[in-house]
Formats: sequence, C-alpha cells, structure tokens
Amino acid sequence: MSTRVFASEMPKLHGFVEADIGIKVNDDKLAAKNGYNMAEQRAQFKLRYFPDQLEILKKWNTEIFFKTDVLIDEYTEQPKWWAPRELYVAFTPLSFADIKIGEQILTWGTGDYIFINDQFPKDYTSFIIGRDDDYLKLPSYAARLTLFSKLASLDLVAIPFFTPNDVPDGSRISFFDPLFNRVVGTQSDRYLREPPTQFDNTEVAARLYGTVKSYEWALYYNHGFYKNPAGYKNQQTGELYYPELDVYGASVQGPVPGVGGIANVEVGLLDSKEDDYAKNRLVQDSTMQYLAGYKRGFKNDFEVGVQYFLIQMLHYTAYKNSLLPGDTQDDKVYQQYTLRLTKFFANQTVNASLFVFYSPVDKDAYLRPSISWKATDSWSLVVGGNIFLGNQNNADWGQFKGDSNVYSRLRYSY
Amino acid sequence: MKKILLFVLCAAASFTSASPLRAEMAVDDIVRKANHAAYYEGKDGKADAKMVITDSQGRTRERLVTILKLNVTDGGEQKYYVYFQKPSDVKNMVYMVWKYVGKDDDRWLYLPALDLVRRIAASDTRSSFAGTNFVYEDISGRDPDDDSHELVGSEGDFYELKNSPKNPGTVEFAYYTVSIDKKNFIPIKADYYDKNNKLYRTVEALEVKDIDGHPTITRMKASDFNSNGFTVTEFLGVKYDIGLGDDIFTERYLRKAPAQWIEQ
Repeated sequence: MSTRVFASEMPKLHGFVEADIGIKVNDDKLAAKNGYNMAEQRAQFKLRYFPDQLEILKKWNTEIFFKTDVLIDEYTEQPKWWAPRELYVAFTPLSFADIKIGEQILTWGTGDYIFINDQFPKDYTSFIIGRDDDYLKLPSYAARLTLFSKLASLDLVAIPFFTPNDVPDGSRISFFDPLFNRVVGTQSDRYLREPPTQFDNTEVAARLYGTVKSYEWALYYNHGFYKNPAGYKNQQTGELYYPELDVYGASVQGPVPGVGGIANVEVGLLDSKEDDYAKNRLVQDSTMQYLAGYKRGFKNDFEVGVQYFLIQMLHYTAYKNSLLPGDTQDDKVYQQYTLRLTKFFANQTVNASLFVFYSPVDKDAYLRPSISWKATDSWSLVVGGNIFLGNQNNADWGQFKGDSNVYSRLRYSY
Repeated sequence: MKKILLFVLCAAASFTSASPLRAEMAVDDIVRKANHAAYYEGKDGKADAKMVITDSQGRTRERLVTILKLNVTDGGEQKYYVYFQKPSDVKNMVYMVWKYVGKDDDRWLYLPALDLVRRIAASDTRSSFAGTNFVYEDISGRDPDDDSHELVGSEGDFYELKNSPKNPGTVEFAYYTVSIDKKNFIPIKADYYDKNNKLYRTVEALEVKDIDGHPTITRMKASDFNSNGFTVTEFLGVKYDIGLGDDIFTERYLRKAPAQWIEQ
C-alpha cells in the first residue's frame, strides 16, 4: 500500500513581497537611527493544507495552516529568515466543537484599536512605525476549543507560553521612561522580566457569546498577566515585570433603531491581583474600563466611526497615599475619543482613511492618515503617516512626538 | 331620497375605479414575481461568481467568490455567505449578510489575518459590491416597496416597467426601467436614468439557463456610462436546495469556512 504525501489536491502557495520605508518628520534623535524608523523588505508565504490520508482526518475537517514572514529589517540590521506568524492545526471532532492548536492570532471584542477584553498580545512598535494593521496583533501559542449551540457559544483558550506586547523601548521608538522622568531613546536600559513558563503560569481566556435578533452580546474572562510591563521588580536596576491580571467584562453590539448605524458598548474590570488594592506603588492599580462606539455608512462609500473610552482607577486614594516624592501621579480618570473616516474612490481601488486618537485628559493626539491604491489585483501602494501631538511628556500617545513619521509600503501579492 | 343618491354614487364610483384598480394589482404582481424569480428561487443555493471588471482603458480585474444563500422567508428575509477566493489579498475573507425587508441588513466582514469578525454599518446599499460595477442591491435585491411601479408596456415577450424611488434622496437614480420576460419573470434589462433624464447605467442578463427547474441568470453585465467601465459576472456551478442549515450563517463559519460547501 503506497502512502500519499499530499492530499488529493496540491496546497496552493500564496503570499506577497513588500518594500516599506518610514521617514521621521519630527526627529528627536534619541533612537538608534536618525531620520527614519522603518526600512525593510518583507516576503510572506502562506499555505493551507487539508490532510486526508486517514479517514478520521477527513471526517474531522482537519486543516493545517502555515504563514510565515521573511523580514529584511534594515533598521535593526537583523534579517529574520524564520518568523512564523501562524502555524496551527484546526479540526472539528464533534459537530458542536471546533479545536485550533498552535501558533495563532486571537482577536475578540468590539473596539476599533481599543482593547478591553482582548488581552492577547499586541505589537505597538509595528503600529507606530507604519506597518500594515495586521501586525498590530502578535500570535499566541495556544489551544482553543469552541463549543457551539443555538443559544450561545463558548470559546475557551489556554495559552501556556507567555507573549508580551511589543512596546517601545527606546532602541527604535523613543518613549517616556519613568526611571528617567523624561522621553528617552537608546539611553533607556530596562530589563523586562517575563513570567517563567510553568504549568500554573498558563493564561486562560474565555468568551461566552450569542446573538439575539440583530444584537451580539458577549461575556469575557481573562486570567493571566499584564501584557505591558506594568510593575517594577526593582526601580534602581530598572527591572520591570508583568504582574498578574484578571479581566472580567461584557459587550453588546447592534443596530441603533430608527437612526441606523451600529453602536457598541464594552466594559471590563481589570483586577490587578498583585497590587493589593493600590497599596503597592510598584504595580499598576486595578481599573474599570468603558467603551462606547458608533459607526455608520453614508452614500458614496463614506464611513464614519466614533468611540469614547474611559479608564477609571479603582483605588485612587490608596494609590495617591502610596506615592513617593518624585513619582509621576496619574489621573484618576483617563478619557480618550477616537474618530475613523474612510472613503473609497474609483471603484474601491483607492481608499483614503484617517484614524484619530484624542485625549482631553492628557491633551494629546495621534493621527493615522493613509491613502491606499490598488493599482492592479496584484500591486498595491500605501502612503500614510503616524503623527503624534501634545506637550505632556508622559502622555499615552504624545510621548511619541519625536517618532512621528510618514511612510510608504509597496506590495506585490500572489 | 338621500340614501338612494348615495347608493347610486357609490355604484358609479365602483364601476369607474374597477379598471385602474385591476391594472395596479397587475403591476405589483409582476414586480413580486420578478423579485422572486431574480432573488428567491429555491429554498437555498450555492454558486461561484466570477466577476471581471473592465475599466475605460480596457484594463481588467478579476474577483472570484463562492456564494451560499438561504431564503428564510419567500420575498423576505435571506442570509448570504460570500467567501472570497480571488484576488489573493482578499482570499479567505468572508462577507456575511442577514438581509431584512423594511430595516437595515446585518452585515459582517471576517478578516482572516487578524481573526477579526467586524460588524459593518449597512446604511449604503447603492455602493459598489467588491469594487465591481454592481451595487449591493443588484446582488441581494431591492425592496419592491422602496419604489412606485408603473406598467408602461406589455406588447411582445416583455413587460416594461418604470420604477420611481419613494425616497429620491437615498438613491443616485431618478428612475429606472425594467424589461421582464413574460415566460419566467426574469428581469432581463434595467436602465437607470439620472436627474437630467440621461441613461447612465444598465444592468442586463446576458444568459438565462434552466437549472433544476429554476430559471437562473448565469451571466449578467453592469455597465457604467459615466466612467465607461463595466463588469461581467458569470455564475458557475449553480446548485439549488442543497440543504444549507441556518447555522452556516454564523460566526463559527466565518472563522472556519464550512468544508462541505466551500473549496478553499
């Protein structure tokens, strides 16, 4: 009996090659290189394969998916020949259960660039320097089980290997470093200690969700660690770590009767377990987070979306009392507005878009304008900018003023 | 005396109004049947749609999608699952619509690179579908109650209708005429006229085939005379009544395409 290596159909190879460049327009000359913060070539390969050598593989609709990037990053001068973004096996062992195991991207929640119940890792460096939106999310090594029923479905995710957010650390993006109390670049010398891989450090995420009439509801639970280094192990040596975090949340999304458009509301309680009700000044306080959003489409392919985001520190008095002289004091309530405008032109081959973050509390703003042009089905060109405004050094977005850039990405897809 | 006069007047009124009343019902009947023939044949269906867009300079783009459709109620609610096969930068994306009559559709777009199910605001049904010269309403149907209909001709093999929007501000046309085949009620040609009475757009059925007893448009063309571009859509592998369940049109199958119906 011969063994077949491939399934009845050869898996097709798809992907793209891309050249990107990002020029700094307000260079604070603090990062490793002046003048630019992105210069790279990228090749992505993706393959989807349905093994059917065994009857059970076919019965379970087994699928293997592989996606990897080869990145020649001239900024870091370190080519990455092997950077798989996704490598997983997905199958359906029972009619009401889907399983996905391996390196995968996980996304849920109702926000637009605002994440409350999506505690999966993100890459803010890529976001700031002008890489494609896809790269805002980092893959997780996870096992995902989803159980389905007519009334509601349940997502259960176990993540045994910790992946932190990729946050600016001064080498490429200058940022406000509390250890220096100002914006620094390569001078920053923080050590970010990750939780060791061990059984009881496995992160868990769950979502119970369903749709009633046209309204989507969900309940969320996350158990794990902050993905930003939200705690100090040792301020003198500049050692930070990722404290324990539990998140409980809910969301609803659906059409607004009469007026039209889609509205969403999402809330989350971020329980900072090691902060002991804000008595520990070295760890971030627990917060309550609220998001309200509204979007609608207009004639001629024009869409508008707005959001209001609020973070409320839960133990502000204890937090204030715990501070030492020299500590920067955060506000009790942080607010942020966002606006998204999108318009298509020329049979949807040209897309002009603007996304703005604005905080009346920090008095800062982050503008993301971009124009993309699909010259043919294979060639596309994107030109855009990442512009940071504000005078407060430690503002969430304003701190990146010196990293503001304009960028261009040219891609050939196959 | 007054009662007799009233009776005579009522009788006279009923005689004179009988004819236009009958003709008005006939138009609505034709419209209903055409709407059914174009969009509601069968309990459910599957088709691959190959769309070739040609611009004014003769350059072409191609889109290939696989469509699954469920008719929840005849002439009413429908569900669509549209899986993008080509071009490669949109491959594996899925667009899903729960279509309603009389209120906004529910729409979702699944982005596989982010594993993101995004809810889309459905306000504009006259914008281009996937960058083609077809608009959403060409694909999923326009509510017959959105227009007032007039039968302007019925000699020969076709009913000729003129349709005017009840809310002119919501659409880009002033009126459109439709030729409906008397045999099978398939709308063969629709001509759209703007506020200056100029013909700016035509949607026509190039080929109609009988598939499983259902008259089916297998080739259609949308031409835009303002931009001098056009799109030809071919429906291949059309199948009716394949037993699609309601559950196919849920988030589960956005994230993982139903292997039984979608060849990836």
